[in-house]
Amino acid sequence: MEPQEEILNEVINGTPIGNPEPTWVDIWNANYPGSTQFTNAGGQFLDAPFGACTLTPFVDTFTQPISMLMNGTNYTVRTNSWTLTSTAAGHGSVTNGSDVTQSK
Amino acid sequence: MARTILRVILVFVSLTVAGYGQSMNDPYSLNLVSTELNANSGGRRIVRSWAQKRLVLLGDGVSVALLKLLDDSDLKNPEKVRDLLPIIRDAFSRPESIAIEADRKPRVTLFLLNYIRQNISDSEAQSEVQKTMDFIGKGP
Repeated sequence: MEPQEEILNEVINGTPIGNPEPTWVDIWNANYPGSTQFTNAGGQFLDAPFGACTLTPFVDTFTQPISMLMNGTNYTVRTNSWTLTSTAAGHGSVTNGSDVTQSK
Repeated sequence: MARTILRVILVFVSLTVAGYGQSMNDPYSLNLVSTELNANSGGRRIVRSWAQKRLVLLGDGVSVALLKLLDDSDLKNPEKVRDLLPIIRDAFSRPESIAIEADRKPRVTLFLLNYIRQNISDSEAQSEVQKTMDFIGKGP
């Protein structure tokens, strides 16, 4: 199976900036360690790299539908509603609002 | 005259891209580059992985998108120019990742940057344009 994503409704510091990827594109990143075009035998894959940074405090939100491309058809398996925030240099948090939360 | 030549190059590159079978939904990555311009507007510089991993695929294609998105007045506006330069640098930051072989050579981009440099009055912006030209000129 080939994991694909859309990146929709991105908002940075309250300002909508658009839909970076409004149609399905591969999640795979060719030159990033651990990233593969297809899932492993268990149906898992690594969405990497993942993160955002800038020089000032920020809040970045967007929606990431994820699908599996099989025989030319996309089957949506989940939709992440990401929020990435940073209030100071070296500190930040990321959450999809459900089962992924990480902070530093 | 230079603007006309840019448009001729744009048509040529457009035909080349179509020939490589790029997605017809957004063959010029206009959504991606447009959101990058918005994300970087006003001198803000925010790096987002989901955009970066697509930008590095574009190489010279980024300038085709920029030409389609911006008009002549934008290319003479120092603030707009400062917004677009990091996007160009990102598109050439990993030459081995550029998806289309022809886009590894920054021909359209150098032409675009040269046009900007010649038509912008702000000396600081001119200097930034030159730095970007030097950066991408070191590619393959």
